[in-house]
Order: sequence, then structure tokens, then C-alpha cells
Amino acid sequence: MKDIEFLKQLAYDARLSISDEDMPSLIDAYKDFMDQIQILEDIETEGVEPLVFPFESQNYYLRLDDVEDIMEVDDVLKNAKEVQEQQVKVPKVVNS
Amino acid sequence: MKFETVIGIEVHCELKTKSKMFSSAPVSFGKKPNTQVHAIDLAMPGTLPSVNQKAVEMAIRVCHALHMDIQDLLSFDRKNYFYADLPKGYQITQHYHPIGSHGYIEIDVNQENMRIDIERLHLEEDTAKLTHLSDESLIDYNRAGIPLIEIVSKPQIKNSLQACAYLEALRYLFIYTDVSDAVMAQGSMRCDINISLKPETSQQYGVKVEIKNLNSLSNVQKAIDYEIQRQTALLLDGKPILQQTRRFDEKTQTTVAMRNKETTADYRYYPEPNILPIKLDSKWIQQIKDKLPLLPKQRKDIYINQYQLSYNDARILIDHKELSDFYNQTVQICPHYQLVCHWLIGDVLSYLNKSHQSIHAILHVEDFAKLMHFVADKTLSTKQAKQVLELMMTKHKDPVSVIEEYHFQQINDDHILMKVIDEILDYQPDLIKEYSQGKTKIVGFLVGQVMQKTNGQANPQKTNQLLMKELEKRKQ
Repeated sequence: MKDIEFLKQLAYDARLSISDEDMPSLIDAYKDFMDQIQILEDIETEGVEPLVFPFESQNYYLRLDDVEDIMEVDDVLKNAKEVQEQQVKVPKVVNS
Repeated sequence: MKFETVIGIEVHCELKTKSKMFSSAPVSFGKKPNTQVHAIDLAMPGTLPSVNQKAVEMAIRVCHALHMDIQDLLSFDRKNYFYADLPKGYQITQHYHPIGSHGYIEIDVNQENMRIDIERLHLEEDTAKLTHLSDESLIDYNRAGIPLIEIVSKPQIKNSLQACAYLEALRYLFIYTDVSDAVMAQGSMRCDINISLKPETSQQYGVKVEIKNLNSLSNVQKAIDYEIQRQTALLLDGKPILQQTRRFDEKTQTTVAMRNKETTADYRYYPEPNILPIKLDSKWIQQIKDKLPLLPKQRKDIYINQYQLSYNDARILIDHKELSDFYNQTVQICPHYQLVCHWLIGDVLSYLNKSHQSIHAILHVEDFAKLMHFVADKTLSTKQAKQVLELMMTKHKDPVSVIEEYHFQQINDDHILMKVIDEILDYQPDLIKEYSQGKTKIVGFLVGQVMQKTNGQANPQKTNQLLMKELEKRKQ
């Protein structure tokens, strides 16, 4: 029951709609996945720094503040299903 | 029961870089929709973000002005949420290691200093702009990716007056550090207010309400005052306060609920894998710090304590950065602190307001300083100096040429003045008679005649003295 609620919340956060029929197989997949995670959880990590990037070298690069590579407006809107007033038209969702 | 208000403020400020935070598309306003866009801003497959050096520099400037610790290993994180204004499905921000932390700002609340601690300052990118129509929304990606800094205060603010003073102090700081125009009405500076009430005796914070959509200081004040009233009424009625996001509604002048607040965990933050942490050069950071101009608070202290300007005069100068810069340069060559200030915030400022021009377009520091010298040593009378100044500003000329061309120089020479006085008195013996009979008011009239004859060039005080002497001599 807890798993179902958790998965529903995750689906909501990711704005995915999951039907009740899909839920049992999703729970099975989720459990398998969590079993794998458990193996990692069991590793002793006391005193080990989290590793985010597998590189030893330092990065010093910052891009200079110059303007280049502006896209043509036709290219910007090429993938839009609908365009109005040179803008991408989407269903209205008032969120923030 | 008495309640105490606890307010924390999040401020977003758009940085005036040339290009965006992670792409080389331009940062510009008022352009046609979707014409200022790079493939990175649209999250096109295969594109990678690259960090704008100028935006980092600007963030460091503000961090230093806010007395913050600066994180020299720059790293970014993803804030995940799904909404049409966010093409990638996440915003690149700095969640775990903000570039600045543990700072403070001194604010001025009704002429009293107050310190507000600042928790963090982080760099992030702006979202696309949505225009909501009746059934659908339109997306303009010009704004997507514009660099932002977010500044989070500690919950130390207690009322709307302090909140407005804090925001104003930050706005000036952005302008003086030259990172943004910081215009709330245009959205280049935005703020969210977190507000909760707790019983005065309680140590525990109450339930927090966030207010968005505040586009002016006056709305910030109204929203906070309304919210204090609303929450107090609920608490006194024993009703719960919901953790919500509310917005200020201009029409009703109240706050209205938008949604119940998601908790921070919902954003599923994690380190941005597309940007390797960047080590910032400590020498570069130091150079940025060293180049920081004098900030509003420092200027105010100098103006009031060293230059003996009044609080109000100092405020007016600081309210106009250009004018304050111009003042600082002028008093370096002409240290008549109060005189220079009065002329700048008087005649010069009113001309600037009328003509909507920048001070540098109409006056040179050296020329203005010269004019102030002429006023200080009485080469020019106040009236003459005003006329000279106006001609300097309208004709773009230096004071010496104006004085020569328009014969403005004050006449201080006794011989020349006496010649004029004699001429006037010789032709009006009746006046000398009147003076003899005790009508001393006649002196003012005669000074006026001398001024008229000399086209206003005679030194009025000197004329007055010489006239009195001559009248006494000629007294019958």
C-alpha cells in the first residue's frame, strides 16, 4: 500500500498518468529495482566522500560573455504542434 | 494573544550580461518572441550548457557587497519539475553549494540602521515566458536561460516597513554593483515573501505562507499588511493556517490562494551532470572584489559624517547613482561639499528630470567644479551662476566661455561700480533728499538700478556698501 502511494506521488511529480491496471506490474518492477538498490545500500560508506563526477582533473573553463549562434525563429518553432503570434501554443495549465 | 510576524524574503534579480547563463543567445528585452534563442535554451538533444563568466563575476560582486563567504568551487544542480516554461524539465540552479553564503546587509528603517542576515546567494537560469489566454498558453523562449541570482534572507524581518527597506537596500546594491537595472515593475527584480505568525512567547515558527506576484514595493507592503491581518484573524478563531502559495491580487488588494505548497523534496534536486564543478581562480575573485565601487551605505556614511550633508540630501544623492558618482568626482576637485550637493540635487537634478537626459551627456565634472568655484569665491552671484549653469547644460559649453560670451562676470571693481553709482545719483538728487529724510528703503531701489545698468553683473553686496557710503557722503 505504501509503495502504491509513493509511486503515485512520483508519477504526479513527473506529471505522468498511470492507470490502476498498470500499477501491479509497476510495483513488481519497482520492488526488483529496490532489491538492486539494497545491494548498494549494504556497502559500508562511512567516511567515503560522495562521488558525482568520475574525473580527477579540475575544470577552470568559463565561457566569455559573447553573443553568437542565435537560431532562426522558423527553426525555433519547427517542432511546435501549433504556433500563434510567433509563439508555441500549448494547453493552458496555470501552475506558478 | 499577541503574535509576532516572521518574514523571510527570496529575491530574484536578472543580471544584465550580454549573453545567457548557459548559452550564447543574447539577453535583450522587448524583442519579437522567440528571436533571442539558442539551441541550448530549448534543450535540443546533444546540447550542453556552458557557464557565462560575466554572470559569475556579477554574482561575486553582489556576494562581496553582501559580506558573504564565496564558494570557489562553482557547482550546479538540477531542480526537477514539469511545466511548460521549462524546456528541459529541470532548471539548472545551485542547490547544494551556493556561490555565496552567510552574508548580511545593513538597511535603513526610518533613519535607524538595522542588519538583516542573508543565508545564501545562488546563480540560476530564468524560465520561458508564458502568456495565458482563455484556453491555451503561448510560450516565448527569449527569457529562457537569462542569468538570475537568488538571494535568500534569514527570517529576521518583522513587518512590511522593514521588508520594503530591505528590498530597497538590495535594489540599490544591484544598481551600484552594476549587475542589473533592478526594476520591479519590469520583472528584472522579483521577490517572494515567506510569512508566518507565532505567539510572542513561542519559540516555534508558525505555518509558512508564500506570497508571489509582487511587482512593486507598495504591493509588497499591502500584501504583508493584509496577510498579517488574515493570519491573525484565523489564529484568534482557532482555525488552522494552511501551508500555501498565495498571490497578491491587484483588484481586491488582498492575497488569494494559488496552490498548496509542494515540499522541497518534490523538486528531486541532484548535481547537474553536464557541468563539471569549476574551480574559480582566487586572484580573479580578489580582482573583482577590489574593483567594487563605493556602495550606498558607505557613501551615506561619508556624506553625512565626513562631508556634513544632511540625511535627506545624502539620500537624494544616493537615490541617483549617476548624480552620486558625479558628486564624488566633483568634490575631489572642488571640496565645497554642501554647496556642490545643493546645486546638484537642486538645479541640475530638476533639469535632468525635465529633459530625461543623463548627467554625463550635459555636464563635465571639471566644468561643473569650475562653476562651483566661481560661486564659492563670489565671482558669480547665485542668480548669475544659475543662468550660466543653464547655458552650460543646454549649449554644452564650459562656464568660462559662457561667462565671456554672455558677459556674466560679476563686477567687483570699486571704480567701475562707483562710476555707475555716481551716474545714477547725479541724475536723481530727489532720492538723496529722501534718504536724508530717513527713507533708507531707497537704498534697495538704488541697488536695483545699479543691477539693471550692469545687466545684473554688479556684486550686490558691494554695491550696497558703496551706495550707503556715497549716500552718507552726499547727505544734505
